[in-house]
Amino acid sequence: MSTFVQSLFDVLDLHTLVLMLTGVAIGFVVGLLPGLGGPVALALMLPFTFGMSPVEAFALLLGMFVVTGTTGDITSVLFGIPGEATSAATVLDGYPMTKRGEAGRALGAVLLSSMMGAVFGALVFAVSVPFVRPVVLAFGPPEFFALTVVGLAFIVSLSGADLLKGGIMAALGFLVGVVGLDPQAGIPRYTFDQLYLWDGVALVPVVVGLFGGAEVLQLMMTKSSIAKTSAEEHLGGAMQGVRDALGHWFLVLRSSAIGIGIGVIPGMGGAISQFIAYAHAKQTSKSPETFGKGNVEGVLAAGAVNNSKEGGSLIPTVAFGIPGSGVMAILLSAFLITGLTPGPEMLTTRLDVTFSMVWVMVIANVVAVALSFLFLRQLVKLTHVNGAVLVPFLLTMLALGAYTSNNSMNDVVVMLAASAMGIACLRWDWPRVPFLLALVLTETAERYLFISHSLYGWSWLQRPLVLGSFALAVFGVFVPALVRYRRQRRPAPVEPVLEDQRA
Amino acid sequence: MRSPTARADAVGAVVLGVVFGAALAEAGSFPFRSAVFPRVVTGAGLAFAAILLARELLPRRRPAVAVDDAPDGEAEFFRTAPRSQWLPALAWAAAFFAGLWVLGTTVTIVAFSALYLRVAARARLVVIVPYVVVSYVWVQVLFVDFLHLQLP
Repeated sequence: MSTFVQSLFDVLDLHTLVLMLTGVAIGFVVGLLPGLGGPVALALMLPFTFGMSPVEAFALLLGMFVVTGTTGDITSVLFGIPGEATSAATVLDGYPMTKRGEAGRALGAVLLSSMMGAVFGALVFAVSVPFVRPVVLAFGPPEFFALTVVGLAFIVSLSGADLLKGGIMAALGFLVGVVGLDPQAGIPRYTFDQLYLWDGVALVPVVVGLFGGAEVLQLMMTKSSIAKTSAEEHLGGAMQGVRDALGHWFLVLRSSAIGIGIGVIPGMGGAISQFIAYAHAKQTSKSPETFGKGNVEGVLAAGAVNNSKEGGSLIPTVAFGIPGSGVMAILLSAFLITGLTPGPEMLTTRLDVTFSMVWVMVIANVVAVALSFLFLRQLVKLTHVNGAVLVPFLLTMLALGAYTSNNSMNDVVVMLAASAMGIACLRWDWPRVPFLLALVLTETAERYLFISHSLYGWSWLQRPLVLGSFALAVFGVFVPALVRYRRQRRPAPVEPVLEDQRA
Repeated sequence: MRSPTARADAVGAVVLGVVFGAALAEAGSFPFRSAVFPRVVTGAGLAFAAILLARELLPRRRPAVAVDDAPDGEAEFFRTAPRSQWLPALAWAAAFFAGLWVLGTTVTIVAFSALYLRVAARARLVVIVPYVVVSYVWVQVLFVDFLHLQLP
């Protein structure tokens, strides 16, 4: 308990607080701008964490990321354009409410439910620590290696119908990850006599290019303003939305629980949890026929789940080093940059950092929601900024973000190569997340494999938890694939949700 | 192979298969412990690439592919964007990075911002001048004064 309280003071330390508020400010704007997602912002801000303490780094990154979901709902409600991919379900009822002049009510509802969800998710994350800790401490290197396989399997299963491409991208990520001196024996691998490659391919330029490059190029190509529809000026009635959120507190709680539950499962996307919570709200509503036409319950469910899922997905990321999502894979890079190792260390000697994440999530969301209510009218205007105006700034961020990794132009070249790869992946439907996750997990996976082999030979493959984990990995990959295959063989029914979204 | 995507997948499988094959052969020169992990991943990658290539070459019904890690609109945008959008954007990006390489950060940021905003964004001077000044100050304060970095 004392660590929990102490970590609050760590976050409230002036320097850390300023960094967190900076992150909140950036996340606030990024969340409002459709197209510039939280993952992109996270990737672009990653280089700035060099030299920071772990608490400072997570105050900046997590403070920024958790509010993108909150403010992403604002554009979903006002323009019908999700600020974030995970804000898509908010459009379904939020935008119809705006069209009938209830934008203020919808925004009040979604912002408060979003904050309630974030606080609930953060608390569950904090409370789960005592339960997760004995499990994590019971694990040895073989089990941790098996868990990296599980995490990767779930992320590969995210590759939609094409698991093969996901597998290839994961293998490519591992291959890029092993470039450099072998940490065990000091043997150069795939360095082609280039001194630059002895330290391996730097992670930051790859992340920055892979996710940021495509976004910037798209802005350069379209040159249009980010929001293409005009804002409805019916921003009154926000307090009615607040009352709606408080009146439907149990729905908000249930939706938050759905977000946490899905967030815990590695590989399940945030957008999925929003639609599941939305469907749950519809099923349990007294007026399901009004969903998609501006029912505030739909807005509440989508808002609540948006931030609660982050608390859930932090649990496997922090406790096992298994990122729950692509975003968490990027966040995992921050662990490596700040010298932290996810796993037992985060639940014992670095428990202060873990609890500081809880406080950052809570405080950042409270600040973001308060600011949203205060500056709603002014913030809406930001979405009409011409995208081309942002280009010089974003290109500078890309270049210097990559360069600062090692103060080397080689890193800029790596970033450009990663950008080209990211764009090619988007253009030809190859998934990027398995590549990134494999790259991030290479060092951990190889180390655990090496230790397991050194300690147990190959007999570690027969340990029950290892076998169970491998079975789970197979389950994670093939069962969703099987379900998809069977669904494809049936004639596709008309999806009412998509129809609503189009409207 | 019927669709352009299938052709692209086949080409991708061949290219990556060659990469994995070469890496697997190279791993043969490493000592055992250094080679275990690279052999496993390149072997798996080579196998996946071979299966993907076989799948694309063999005539059979193939369901539409969906990738879930990016918003659909983004993928669709890059698939359908005309050359008239690609070329200027790539030229501007190339100019920026070439400038960074040849002229250095400060000159490039100032010159590129002014030129891009005027020509591509058609911004007015009242926007361009403060933008350039703020960009310059921001880079100097953040990277040079605060982070003490030597800029390119």
